[in-house]
Amino acid sequence: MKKNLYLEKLYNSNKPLIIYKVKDGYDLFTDFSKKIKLNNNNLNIFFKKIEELKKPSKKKVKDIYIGFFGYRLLCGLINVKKINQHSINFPDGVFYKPETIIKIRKKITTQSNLKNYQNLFKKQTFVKTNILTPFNVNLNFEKYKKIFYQFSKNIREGKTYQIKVCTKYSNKSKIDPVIMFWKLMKTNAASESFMIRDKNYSIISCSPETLIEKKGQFITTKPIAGTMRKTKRTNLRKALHFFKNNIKETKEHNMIVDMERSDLSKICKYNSVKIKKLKFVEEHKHLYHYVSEIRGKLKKNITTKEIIKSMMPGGSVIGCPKISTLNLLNQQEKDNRNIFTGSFGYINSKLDMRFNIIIRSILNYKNKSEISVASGVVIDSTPKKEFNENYIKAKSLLNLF
Amino acid sequence: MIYIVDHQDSFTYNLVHLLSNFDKVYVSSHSNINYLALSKSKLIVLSPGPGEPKNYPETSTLYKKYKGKKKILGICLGFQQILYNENGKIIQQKKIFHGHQSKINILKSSKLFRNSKPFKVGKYHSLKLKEPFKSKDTFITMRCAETKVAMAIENIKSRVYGFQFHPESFLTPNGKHIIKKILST
Repeated sequence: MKKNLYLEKLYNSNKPLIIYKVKDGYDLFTDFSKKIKLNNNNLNIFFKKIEELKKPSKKKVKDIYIGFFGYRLLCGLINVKKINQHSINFPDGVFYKPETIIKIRKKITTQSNLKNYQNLFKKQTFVKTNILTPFNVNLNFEKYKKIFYQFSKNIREGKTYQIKVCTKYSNKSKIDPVIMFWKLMKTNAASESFMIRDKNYSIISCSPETLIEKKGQFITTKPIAGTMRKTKRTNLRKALHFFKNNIKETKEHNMIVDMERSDLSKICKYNSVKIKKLKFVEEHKHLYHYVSEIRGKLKKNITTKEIIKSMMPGGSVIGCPKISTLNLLNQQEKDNRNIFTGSFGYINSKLDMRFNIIIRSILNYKNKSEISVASGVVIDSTPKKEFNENYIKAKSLLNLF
Repeated sequence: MIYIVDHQDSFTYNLVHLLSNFDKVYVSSHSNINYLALSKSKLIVLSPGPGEPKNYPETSTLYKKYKGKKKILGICLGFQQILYNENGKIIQQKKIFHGHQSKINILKSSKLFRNSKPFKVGKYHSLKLKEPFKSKDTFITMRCAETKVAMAIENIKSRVYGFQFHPESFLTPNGKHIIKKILST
């Protein structure tokens, strides 16, 4: 990528900024005129503001809200009972309204509602990534095994058909999120990657999973269910062969496809929900994913809130059926998931939106970095295999430190 | 109108869309029944869901109240709910087939499907009917070709039907045909 003086200045400043991967490059958002910290009490006010985005405006950069919904907020939205979990008091969700958007493609173009946007920063002293303690995992294999067998029992009882156990790696560290993000993008520029740098926290993610892509009346979701480790001997064709012939992966995937069809059906016109692509393989740095694409046409007068409520938290990272599985998870997990399995994305002035599922991400807050991963307990999995799958998923992020 | 009693399942709206091919559909939670809408419905559908029949006493009450008065269809948990109220026992199974596509065989006892060929269906159940199951009017009409587990029941006189499999799943290619048969009775 070519050096761009304005971008360099921006990166070296302490200005909050967001970067989001797009098909042929990255969009960078900054000069936030609004920052809204969300909680279950002000969420409805936020959704009202969203509906107001539709009002015509003559601004260069049209109004857009970009940010994330955390896991706990999304549980609250669908009335899943809250329980006491260990929490670091990180916000349940934050959205920003940018006045400047920089499109980083082969050429870099900038649009801003501010006249002097190029000169609006203070210089900041350079933060070098500094690791103060090694990574700790919140569940060792023994503890993981216990939870695993508890959930296996719940499956036999019919309380859940599939459930995703989360493990969390954390250390004490200071990081420069911009440098770390671009380093990650060199090796793993997954389709839903993003970065948020704010004054008191940062998030770096190479999420591969699209939860919502809404354009006009059409809405698409691309659930991932199935992971295979990449080695020198594997390739795309072999991965497809593995998934197709693996009964466990196939069953797990089928379940997610039916669940996402149902989530879309809540908000879509009758008979409009179709599986566009069933079971294809996507290749990543350390692994292969088994993916499907499902699409529907929205009912008339469906609100943004109804869409979010129907689709989030994304089923593929929770398990099935969603509500009873969330209840089981929340009884068992001692730590707040924070951003993990929440959703990052934006809603624009046409009320179009794009949201991912926040996985494969680093949250740095109060000089602590955390990386959460989850894998599924289904009836034919083993604790050893799933515990290891969690490690494979965390690997490309742990390697950044 | 068709009334779906929802047991908070993540497949319920697949069922709504499937049934909407034939009639208007009304959905409510099992714990919040709209009796006015229910009284106007031709068919009551008991949805799939987590857990076991005894977790849903309201649905059992509703079943007993409307059996013989309205046509009833139970899917998965709904199927087990019907059998539970017909003195059947619902038990855990050793092998579980969540998200599995299986072939099913149609038994001679089936009035509705006796001319159909065996077909493939999607299954998501942890529990099953304990057999032998004896009833004067409710008969097992389909079985899984692999496991022989009961997959469908018919009570022609009371017009009560049930499927252990999921006609609304993408793993059941002729789900629409199956529902059409039920509606034709």
